[in-house]
Amino acid sequence: MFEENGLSRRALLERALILAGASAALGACDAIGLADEDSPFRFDADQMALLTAVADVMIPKGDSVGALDAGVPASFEGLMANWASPETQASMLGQLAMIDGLDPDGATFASLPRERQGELLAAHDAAAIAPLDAPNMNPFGPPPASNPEYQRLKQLLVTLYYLSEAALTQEISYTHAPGEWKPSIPVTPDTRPEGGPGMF
Amino acid sequence: MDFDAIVIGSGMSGGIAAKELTERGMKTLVLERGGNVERGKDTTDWMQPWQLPNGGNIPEEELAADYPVQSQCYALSSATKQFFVKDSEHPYTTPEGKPFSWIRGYHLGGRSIMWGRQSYRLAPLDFEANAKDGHGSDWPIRYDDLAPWYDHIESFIGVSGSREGLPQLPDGEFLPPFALNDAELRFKSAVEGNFPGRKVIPGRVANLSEAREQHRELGRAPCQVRSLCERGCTYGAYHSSLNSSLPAAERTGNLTLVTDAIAHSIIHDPASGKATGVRVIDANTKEATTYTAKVIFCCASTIGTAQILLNSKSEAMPRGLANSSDMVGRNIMDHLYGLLTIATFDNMPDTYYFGRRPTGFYIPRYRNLDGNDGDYLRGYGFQGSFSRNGGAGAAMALPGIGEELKERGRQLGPWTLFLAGFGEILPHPDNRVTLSETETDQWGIPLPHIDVALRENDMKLATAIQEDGRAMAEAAGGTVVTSLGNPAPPGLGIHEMGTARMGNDPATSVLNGWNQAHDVPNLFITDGAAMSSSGCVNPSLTYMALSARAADAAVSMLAEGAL
Repeated sequence: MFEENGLSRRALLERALILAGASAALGACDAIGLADEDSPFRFDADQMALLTAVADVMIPKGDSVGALDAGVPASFEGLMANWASPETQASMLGQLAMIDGLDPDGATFASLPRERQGELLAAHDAAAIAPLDAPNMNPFGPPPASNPEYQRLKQLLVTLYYLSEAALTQEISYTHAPGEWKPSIPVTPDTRPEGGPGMF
Repeated sequence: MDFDAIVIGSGMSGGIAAKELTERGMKTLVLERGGNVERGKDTTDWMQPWQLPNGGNIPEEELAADYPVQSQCYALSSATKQFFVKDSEHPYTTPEGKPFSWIRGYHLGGRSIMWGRQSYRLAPLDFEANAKDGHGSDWPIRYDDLAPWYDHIESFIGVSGSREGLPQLPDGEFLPPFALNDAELRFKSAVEGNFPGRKVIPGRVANLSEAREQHRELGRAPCQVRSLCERGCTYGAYHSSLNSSLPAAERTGNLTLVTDAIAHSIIHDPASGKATGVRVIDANTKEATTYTAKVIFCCASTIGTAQILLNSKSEAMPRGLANSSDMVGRNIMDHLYGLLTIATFDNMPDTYYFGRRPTGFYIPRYRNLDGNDGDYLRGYGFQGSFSRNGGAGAAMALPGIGEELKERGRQLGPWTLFLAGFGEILPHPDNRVTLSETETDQWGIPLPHIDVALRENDMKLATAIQEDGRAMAEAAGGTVVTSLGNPAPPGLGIHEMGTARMGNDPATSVLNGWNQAHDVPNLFITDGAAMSSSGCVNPSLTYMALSARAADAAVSMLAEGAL
């Protein structure tokens, strides 16, 4: 009785990519769900370039894996197509457009040097995520921020990253079936927090 | 007669009733209003985090249209939505400004698939409470009547827990507990040292910390410590009707199971005074069928059972079946819920844990154990846990991008306490469900109208819960970062009960001490509807113990010719 549409489509896409010899592209398909064929939502090439740049600057590869290794741009397009309401789609597009307009000289965000992208997005992020002195209505979400729409964009990108196989196996940790409960283990320099979809 | 017994509902109570009846040789029909579910095929516990449709999120427009009530439940996600009703397809009404969150799933196994699995016995003081303070009807049984049936159920389903010797939380037949982690041990020491009479113990939970013979023979394996339980468990490691009771019933050869079978009403024969069968509507074709049996167990859940009884009006019983007392549908209780304290600690051991334990700790009731020590009646307990988080939550907690964000995400966060109070709600006759006289569902059954309010004593408990939660967190050295002091809407505790209460007096109660309807001797009701009071502990274990005890009694009565 469970509807496996998203997964079936993903499996089909992966198979198609393999048949096409596009093994390198599988990284980008290691995503929570690509956009359904029947969804009209797609980022155009400029928007995808912008989104890719934002995700890469926000969660760079560094010495482990980053948003691009985790397929975050494709996953985010999938979320917008398959999950987001038109209002959310518009809001997220608006936030991305706002980032695209950060450069005072009018250059698109994606065309800027990496260092400049980092400067602009960090400043934008600091202002937008500045804590608000307001009650936190969702104790399981981030604290209230001055620009909740940007905070949501960031939260979606960050969440997609930390739910990805790449991040859960190479950046933090995840064991699907631990098999036993160890109530006390030592913390070492290699200890990483356990990720996953649960609250605790 | 088509069958010896009909059990309406395949959830927590119905599954156990079916097991106990079939094991005693009764040819038993189980009617389930929802569709079939197969362990392994329809469960989604195999999904890795990156395989969750939409990262676990249900599309926003679908969520708003189909799940406005169910979405209030923490367990609803894109991996579990098949186990929750669409509110749009199963409407009910509430008075303006008096919400009631009716969380449910219509499928084989019912809510036993998604339940929280916390399993505690009511105590002697709970069975005496109504008689003592005059609220509700006096329970017609006492703790000792039910104790052997608690033993029986705990052994069958498997409950992990520690023996503590507390009179307000009787011990049981436990599997080894899931031990407290280091922060919880420190918290335990602080709470028990600063607040004499309070205890912090491992949460008692219906997950197999070890699988014994009676579990293995049903194909159940030990808990893999995944905390994916609400998706269903391929290992069969927690108790549900799918994992335990229905397979046990099936192996007797006495079980007939019909899914997509909505119980419309129970047929009453005024000449004999007995129930003779159940009118059923096929959920898909909407064709009507009648099944007959010698004994009927109504286990359709608290609201569902009341709906069936009230919809079974006849000339002989114009207020509905078994309702000469006018108590059917009244006295709805839940537990105070949503009273949450979150605190962080910097004085705890720098250690961690491995595994996602399917429980946490429990603080049993400590108020009003010997008389009243507050300006309110009854009491409350707390469920909680300490955890150290990282990843997305830590990354999002502060401004910052790039390596700064990633570095925050890969660090173990501070020990964080989640402490949730569960308080007893008093029975009140005006907290009730009635049937609409004008609106029906797509199967022609009148819609339930649920009218429940929290009252003065309930709100006093809510205040006390939050005061105590903060005090315990701070006594252990914590900084309270969140304190949610307004209880959630009634119903969201998902412990609704009381609509066909037990009692000694047929004038003020629906069921006697054997869960047998005063008015209809071959009708037994053993789901939450039967509860005379709510206690403050999670009630499913009591529903199951009552179901097993009533099934045993019904078979004896039949054998003796008393039915």
